Amino acid sequence: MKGWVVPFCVSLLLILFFVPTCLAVDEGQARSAIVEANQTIKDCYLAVAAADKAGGNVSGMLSVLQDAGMLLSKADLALGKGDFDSAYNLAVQSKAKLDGFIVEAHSVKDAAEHSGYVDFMINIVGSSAGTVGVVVGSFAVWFWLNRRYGKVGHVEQDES
Amino acid sequence: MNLSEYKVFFIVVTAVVALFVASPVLSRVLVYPRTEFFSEMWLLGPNHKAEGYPYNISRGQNYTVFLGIGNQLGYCLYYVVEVKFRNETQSAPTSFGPIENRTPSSMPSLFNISAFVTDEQDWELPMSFSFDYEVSLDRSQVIFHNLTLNDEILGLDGYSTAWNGTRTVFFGNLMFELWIYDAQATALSYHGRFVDLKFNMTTY
Repeated sequence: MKGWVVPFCVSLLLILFFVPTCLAVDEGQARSAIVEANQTIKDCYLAVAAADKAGGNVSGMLSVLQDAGMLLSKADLALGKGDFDSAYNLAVQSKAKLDGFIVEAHSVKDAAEHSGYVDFMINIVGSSAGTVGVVVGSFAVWFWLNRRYGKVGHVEQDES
Repeated sequence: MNLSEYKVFFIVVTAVVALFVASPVLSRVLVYPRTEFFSEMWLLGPNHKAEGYPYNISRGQNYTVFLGIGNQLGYCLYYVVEVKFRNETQSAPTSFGPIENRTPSSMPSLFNISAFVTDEQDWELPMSFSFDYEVSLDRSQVIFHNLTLNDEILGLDGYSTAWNGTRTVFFGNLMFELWIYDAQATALSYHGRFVDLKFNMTTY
């Protein structure tokens, strides 16, 4: 019995001592996770800015971006304090918040561009064409009325 | 029937109908163009007014102010507010001259706050803060330990401020500098604007 208890206990202690050390995040990993999260935020910002420029409603997306930015700031702070585990986790959380964000931003942009095209066709092209139509139509009606009733009016004047 | 009697009426009706049909175009064409593009930054006191700003600071006491940004630049912007702290002798951001020539404080940023703001929109954040510091034994200087800002503990190791006998204060200056993300340079650049709070770090 004694033969295996001592090696077992020693192994267990070694595992308990080394496993957390092996799983711990070093500064390089934390730093690269932060750089990656930072780049993701910048890419997402550019995508959402394009969607906003196209006229899309991006308020909900901006609030997600805001949360991701706050997590990144906290990750930076943790890195400065030497808490690499927290820095890494916060950077990963920040990046995870933006999963699928660019695709969503592109779809908002496409929808906004389509809606903008329809709006342009109705409100600009339609309205301009309608105005020209009203003016030309009015002239046409006036000339038609003039031709049809103008002579009658003239004759009536003559008869009187 | 004499049509010439109706000529003016016909022209007026045509003009009214044409204006009505043209109103969508006119509403876009006859808009006075924006000529000024800028960002705003403000700091309001605890009652959300430009008054009651904290000045005499007590150790461990919580203070609240409101930090705001307004975007009038014509497009969605990625702002970063750098939170910095300094004493009287350390570098402050410049306040004079053309805004593009102004420089930020050379002090390191203690914390960065991101703000994404669309055109003609405002962003505001309540900022709750407290200082942990001690006064040296000879009472000649205040030695800072940390600043707690919205529950984040920001280290102020190495920060201290000496007694100013003329102004009778232990001067402290909390600064919020506005930076923007420049997509072409793919980097943050100082936007020439900052707001700050000046404190007297009291000994109680």
